[in-house]
Amino acid sequence: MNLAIICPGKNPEPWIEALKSYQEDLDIQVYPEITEPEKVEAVLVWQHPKGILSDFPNLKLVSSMGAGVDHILTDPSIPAHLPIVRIVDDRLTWSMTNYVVMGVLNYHRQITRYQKDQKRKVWDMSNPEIPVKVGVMGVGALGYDVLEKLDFMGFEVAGLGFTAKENFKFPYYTKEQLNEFLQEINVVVCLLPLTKDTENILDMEFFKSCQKGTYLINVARGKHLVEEDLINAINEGYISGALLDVYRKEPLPKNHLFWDQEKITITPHIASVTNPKAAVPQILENFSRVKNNHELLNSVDREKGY
Amino acid sequence: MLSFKDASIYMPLNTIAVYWNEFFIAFVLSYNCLTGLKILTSSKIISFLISGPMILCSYSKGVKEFRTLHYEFSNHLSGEESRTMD
Repeated sequence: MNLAIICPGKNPEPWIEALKSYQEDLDIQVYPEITEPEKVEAVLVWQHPKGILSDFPNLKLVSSMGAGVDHILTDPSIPAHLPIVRIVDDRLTWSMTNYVVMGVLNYHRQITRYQKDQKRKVWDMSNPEIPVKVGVMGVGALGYDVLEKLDFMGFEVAGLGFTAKENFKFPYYTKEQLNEFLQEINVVVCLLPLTKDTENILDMEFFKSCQKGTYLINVARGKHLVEEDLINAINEGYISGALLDVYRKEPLPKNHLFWDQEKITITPHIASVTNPKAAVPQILENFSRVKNNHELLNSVDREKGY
Repeated sequence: MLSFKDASIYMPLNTIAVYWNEFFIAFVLSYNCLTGLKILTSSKIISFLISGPMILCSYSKGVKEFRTLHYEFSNHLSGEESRTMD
């Protein structure tokens, strides 16, 4: 199968190396040096230039280079019949869960407070633990793993998703029960896919529906959060603080207000990053499946947006 | 709208004009015509002005490079940033 890698601004070499290590004879063309577009049958993409996929008349498969596919689904020129798949990688899930657990524990055991106390030589033994009940919005592969690990650690948890689920292992709420969900928890983790239904979901109305002093962890997409609303919600006491890994504009501009917010901890979109070596086997498996007309792994439902 | 391929039959000066025109039309379309122009920031206008000569220079390398620049500039205008693969 002839493959094109299209990831402007990203280094494709680790991907080429990983692909070749599994399949030495794979024909790989890399954007923008694609000289034989008619030969391309599959594309690996990350933030591809919109419209470019129409250059490949024999394209049979579009594969995201990460778990997210919002960067693909915002390209209206991709023909409806073309299957889209994404990466579901245990390593990526492990990293994401560790990050969220870190955020929850940091809030629960207030490590930031003790770091400040140390600097000021303050010995304050009051209220060493903040009681925590964690709500995870988005209960796919990532969200479910977070729920399981936090549950194992003894935290009370609840999940929220956009579709009804039967026999879910944890207390589960649908989007119609959002207010009820928010009243049950005091740490909210956003792991939702970015769709038209979830964009800007973390706005002032959302924050006002939370229990007073709720802590926010956003590790999904920057566009879930209305950033000005978060600052206002913290100033007005609806939200006690936040741990953010994703932003509407990345890298975060130097003059962004988040840099100077004492109650907001920011990390530079490092919660979990796709590992090419871990991702390649499922990509190659999907190439094989599409050639043999078999059901694809980790298919994306365009209607749902994930 | 003239296509990039059609443009190659013109004399160099005309071709440059056509390419520029093509780019300008794409630029305006990407901002939903006039309504979009209202939200132009000064940095984007500067980017646009700088990209013009860049595109003209790239003409000597052929249409493919022009299209690459065009695509990438369109993405820049749409606000897409280089984001972590996750």
